[in-house]
Amino acid sequence: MPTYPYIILDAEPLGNVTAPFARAGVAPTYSQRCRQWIRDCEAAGTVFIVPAITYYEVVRDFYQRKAPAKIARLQNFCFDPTRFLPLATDDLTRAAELWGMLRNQGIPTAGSQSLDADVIFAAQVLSLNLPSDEYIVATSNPNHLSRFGLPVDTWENITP
Amino acid sequence: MSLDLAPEIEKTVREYAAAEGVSVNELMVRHFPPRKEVRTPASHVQALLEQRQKEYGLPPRPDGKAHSTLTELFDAWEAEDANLSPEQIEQEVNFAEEYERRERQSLSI
Repeated sequence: MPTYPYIILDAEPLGNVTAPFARAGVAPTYSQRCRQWIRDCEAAGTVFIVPAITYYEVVRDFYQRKAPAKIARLQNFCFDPTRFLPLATDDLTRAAELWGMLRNQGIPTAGSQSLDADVIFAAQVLSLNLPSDEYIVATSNPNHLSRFGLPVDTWENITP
Repeated sequence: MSLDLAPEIEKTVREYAAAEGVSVNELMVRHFPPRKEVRTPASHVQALLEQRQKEYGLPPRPDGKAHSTLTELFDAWEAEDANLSPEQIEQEVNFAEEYERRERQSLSI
């Protein structure tokens, strides 16, 4: 049994899946360790979910850096029927509600003119309606997502 | 549709229906309501993903495959990476390090 049946990927661990593979005798980089962690989690039975907004956050960086091979790998990872959560209009409505509620509580999550991908990410995760002990959000910086009340931790702290 | 009941069972069912003042059909509905589908978290999530993908689309994968486990996917990439030259490996590692740097920078904004 995996520690969490579901792990929702935030942008940083997702971008790391396309890292090159470590060579024998060479210490793995941070990205390579992250991808190995993803592999270990799936081997333990965890299902990874990729919200569409996370895909957007990563692929835009790859487009800016003109990396078509990376884009192809990322799409092969994300566009799988067992992993990809498309963005729905309901997600945007929920994100807007969250955005307004947090602003009214004095908890801004991004600049006023920013699209605020974090709040859209939170709305997509909440749309899954999973019990909080059934999943965790894997990220590199839990602070920016924990304000939405999501169970969240750095990928390095999540045991496969 | 009919049920093939043993005569003594059928007699008992009819007696219960008569005692409750309802038809056999009503008796059956009263005591055997439609079963609710058991939705485990796994079936619930997969159903949601399928419904969303049907409604909003799931783009085709560049490799043309419909599905693969991560182990299958990573094994294929590892085989591709085995052919990289040392210069290409260095480029790849630099790309990944730059990605990490950009991500951390964006989080600190």
